[in-house]
Amino acid sequence: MQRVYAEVRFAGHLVRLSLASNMEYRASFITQAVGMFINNGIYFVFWLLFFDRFKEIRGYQIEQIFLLFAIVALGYGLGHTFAGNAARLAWLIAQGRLDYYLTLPRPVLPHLLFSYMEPSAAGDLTCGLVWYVFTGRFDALSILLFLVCSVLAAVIFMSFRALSGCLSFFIGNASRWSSFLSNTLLTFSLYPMGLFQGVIRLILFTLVPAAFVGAVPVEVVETHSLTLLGGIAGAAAVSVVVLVLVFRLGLRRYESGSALNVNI
Amino acid sequence: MSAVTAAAVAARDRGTWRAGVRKYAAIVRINMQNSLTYTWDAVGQGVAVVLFMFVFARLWKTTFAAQNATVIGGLTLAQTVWYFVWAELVQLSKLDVAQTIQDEVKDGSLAYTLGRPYHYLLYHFAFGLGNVFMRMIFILAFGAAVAWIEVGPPRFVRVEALPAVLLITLLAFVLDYCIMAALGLLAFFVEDTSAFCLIYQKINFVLGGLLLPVDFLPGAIQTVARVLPFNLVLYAPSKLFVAWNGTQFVQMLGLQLVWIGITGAGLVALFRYGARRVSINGG
Repeated sequence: MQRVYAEVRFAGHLVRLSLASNMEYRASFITQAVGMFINNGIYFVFWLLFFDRFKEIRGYQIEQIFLLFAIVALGYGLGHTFAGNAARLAWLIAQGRLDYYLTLPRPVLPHLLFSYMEPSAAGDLTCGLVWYVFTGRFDALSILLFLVCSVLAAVIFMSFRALSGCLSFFIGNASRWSSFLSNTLLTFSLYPMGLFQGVIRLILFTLVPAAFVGAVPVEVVETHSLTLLGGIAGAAAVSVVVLVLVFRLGLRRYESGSALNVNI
Repeated sequence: MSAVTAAAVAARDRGTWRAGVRKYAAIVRINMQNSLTYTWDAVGQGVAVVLFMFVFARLWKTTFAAQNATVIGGLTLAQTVWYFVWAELVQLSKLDVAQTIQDEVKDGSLAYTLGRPYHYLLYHFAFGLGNVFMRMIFILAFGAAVAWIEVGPPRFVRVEALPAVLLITLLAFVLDYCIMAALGLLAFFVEDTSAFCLIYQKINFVLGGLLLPVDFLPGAIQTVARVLPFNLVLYAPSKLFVAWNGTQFVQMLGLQLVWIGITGAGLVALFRYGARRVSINGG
């Protein structure tokens, strides 16, 4: 237990360092965060226009879309704020940049993941909170479930992103594939699950767990179902376990690069 | 043509517009050959379009069914889905130069190209165009396959109108290039232009017709969208592809030329202003 506490504290230090690093380039940080906020906002206009014309689709109205986007954006933002290196893992492996982490007396995977903060993620975080305000669900339980679901969504997002990055251990530079796979997860999570049936639906509950970062959390917040919440927690736990196993397996195949890297 | 004859022709034409065309055509050709080397990259983009097309097809099939409608905004379900094939074709294969230009402005490498015997902006256009064709083939093949499976063949496409559709598509690339290059050149004034590019991309999604054909927009927004240049990049070629209309073609062509004139003039002015600010240090 003491070891876990120490690692959590270490992760906290890493996040603070990343934040301080971003603050060194404050104007760029703010520009990127504001840019992402506006970017998300304009994208959301599509759904406003869509529901203005079509009112409802497979049980989803604009209120559910606000909630869906709030959870996905907050989860995505939290993940990329605290574990931004998951998105760069494929590139780091392909470039042989794991050497730095391998030589230090800390667990490699968490050290690696928590060492970078994506500046634009602040825009996603803010969007998530703002969109939640538009859902009009201000009772304490709904807010608590929204926050818990978003944290679990963040865990699934980043585990999946890092897992796809691990492809670089096996097929060389997998940056494009990693990016494609995580875009697939994000894209499917932003649509009502009722659109997808059969095999695709099965995939969205298993291999590409988009349902657990979008549609299922929406149902949890709406119905206050603790059973479904348990399902999301289970999916998050499974995704972390799979990531750890695959990362360990991949690490055995890792070949150090000859490049000299300086981490400042 | 022998090498001697080619050299003689090149010497005779030096400085003329014919020589200019040949020069930039050579850049297009060289990059087309380069893109053949990276065929798997193009295949990767083809795979990406499968994802988008699948989601769009499901969304619009469900929407048409829920509305119990055969036509929405003047388009049938099949026309709507095939509209997105062409829209994705333009969106995913267009010249993505903003990042390259931004990097060249930031790291100063733009300075080294100013002395070379080509115009910086035309060079990037020709360079980007050379990479477009291979991507277009795979995106069209994969996108069309999904649309065909979901809603059947595009029987409404007028084959005789395809050259005109291709002309509008080419001008859409030119217009988009003028805007993207201008965004990249903003690096003369701000450190990172990616936020502007993202915003432009998303405006194209909504007002440009990537996520929703402009015909589906509410009245007032539709009027605004039709005046702005964004719909001329994605909506114009896609709409003409699935629902050819000669009058609309002439209108769109005219508007494209006007907006290319406006954005092109702005781009050249921005480049000239920026080029004056470039200082070259030895190294």
